[in-house]
Amino acid sequence: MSPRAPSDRWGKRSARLLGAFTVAVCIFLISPILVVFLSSLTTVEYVSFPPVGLSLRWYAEVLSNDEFSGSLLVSLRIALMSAAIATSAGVLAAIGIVRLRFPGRDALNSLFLSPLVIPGIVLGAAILQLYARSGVASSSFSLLLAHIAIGMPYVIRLMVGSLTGFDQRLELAAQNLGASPVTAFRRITLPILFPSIAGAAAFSFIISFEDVNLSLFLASPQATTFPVRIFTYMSQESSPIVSAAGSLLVLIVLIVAIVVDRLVGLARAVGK
Amino acid sequence: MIAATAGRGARNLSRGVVLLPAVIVIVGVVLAPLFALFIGSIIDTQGDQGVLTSRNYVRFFSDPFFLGVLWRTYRVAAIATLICLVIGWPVAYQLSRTAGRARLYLTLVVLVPLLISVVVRVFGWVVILGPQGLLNNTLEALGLIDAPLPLLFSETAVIIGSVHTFLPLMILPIAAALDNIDPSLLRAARNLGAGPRQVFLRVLFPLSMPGVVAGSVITFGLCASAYVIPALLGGSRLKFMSTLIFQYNIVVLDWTFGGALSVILVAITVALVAIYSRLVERLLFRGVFQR
Repeated sequence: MSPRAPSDRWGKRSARLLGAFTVAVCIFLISPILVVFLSSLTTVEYVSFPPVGLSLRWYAEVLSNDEFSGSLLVSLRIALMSAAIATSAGVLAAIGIVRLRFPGRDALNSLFLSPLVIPGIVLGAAILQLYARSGVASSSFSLLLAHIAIGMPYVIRLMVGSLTGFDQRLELAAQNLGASPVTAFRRITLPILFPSIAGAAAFSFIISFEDVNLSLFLASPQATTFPVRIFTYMSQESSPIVSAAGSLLVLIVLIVAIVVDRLVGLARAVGK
Repeated sequence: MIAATAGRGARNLSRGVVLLPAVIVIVGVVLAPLFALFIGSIIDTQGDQGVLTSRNYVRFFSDPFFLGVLWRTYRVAAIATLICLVIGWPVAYQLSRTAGRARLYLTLVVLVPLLISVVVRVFGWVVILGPQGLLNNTLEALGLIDAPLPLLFSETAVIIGSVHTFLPLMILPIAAALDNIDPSLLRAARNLGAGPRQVFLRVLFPLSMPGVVAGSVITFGLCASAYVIPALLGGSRLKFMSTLIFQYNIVVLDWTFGGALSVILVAITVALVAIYSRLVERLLFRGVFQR
């Protein structure tokens, strides 16, 4: 006990300092988001902080604005479709990665995860040049393809984790009891893995729904996603309608994020 | 024996079908477009013939304007990464020392901004830093300034936005590395007479290096290639590599040069990250074994 005594006062003071510093950083992290949310509640025509009055007027404006509501639907449709495809392809790939033994397995896994490290604008430019410009794919189809590519790595990473932890003896036991491999997989493995699969699907939905970098390149007047619409409004004016649209985007993502957290844990999904 | 192996091989092959959809996505939507982008930037098509050319790259590296943009991009990314490290390390340390409910809340505060679209976060900074923004209004109300400070559309604004966006990606790996440190090492250091400063410099910080390297590589790479932050907080005058890539691909429609810009951005980022990791490795090696 005695060796600690001299540094005790120093330790307490520095612990308090560290705590205060952490609180300050937390305020720094949260304040811009809070500012957007609060400024969306204003009643006046300009962005002000603190907001003047209190109303949901600008949310109604977002939903009645054809450009915003149209792109909200585009975003939801692309996010749902790309999440469904990315999850199906990703779950299958994860099964292959975890259960099959073949040379170059690790390399293939890294290849599957590579979209995580490729800058969004570079991939966006590349997909634009190969598909959209050559006329091979329409704007909304290339958006869908791009969103599948950026959502799938998250699915694979999450599912490789869950499948590695899965006790395969359960499946073997079912097969011993007379189930075919496919039945055993469908009746035993899938139900056990269902929460992870749902979490991975929800997370790839978020990735697609929020993407700006790729979508900025691939969007067209016929197919503009919600975040891209917010971006273009923002670069022209700072109206409370942007705050409201931004808050709406956050709200939808937070609801899905809560689902992810319940199913697989947010920290795992983000890739801690 | 041979037949058995062959049978297993065939079964393995047919099972390999599960990998097919993902392989198609990666090859079709990621590898092929990137490859085409690269080829497009080094091939000149004259009529129906392709000729190898370095035209796009010579154009970039011989123009002081482009070199200035390159320098600004990496300078700003380096500064933002350094600030993230200095701010992030103590928070990561606090996170690794906290337990129970408090840890859950702190993790949430660090994680949630990661999930919020960059457009929303950047708009928050526009509202805070703008000429009639929160900061300028507050300073004016306090009588500290007479005219609004030109905070928005500056490198400072880009750095603030980048630090805010990527700080969580610095904190999380460092916290994970700190979590892995055996507490008995710290007790041993203290029992051997090390003061808090020595414990930090010779035990905690060196052992957190895997997290520091991972965090700074992610932060630096994302800062250098971020588009929304420089586009909206830097304004149209202040060019970065990412805003140039957008401009040449979407506005100017010079695709081969736009492709070359992308290749240059990726190649230099990868090279810088590799040099940095090698350097840190060597420094650590020396630090650990020469004392």
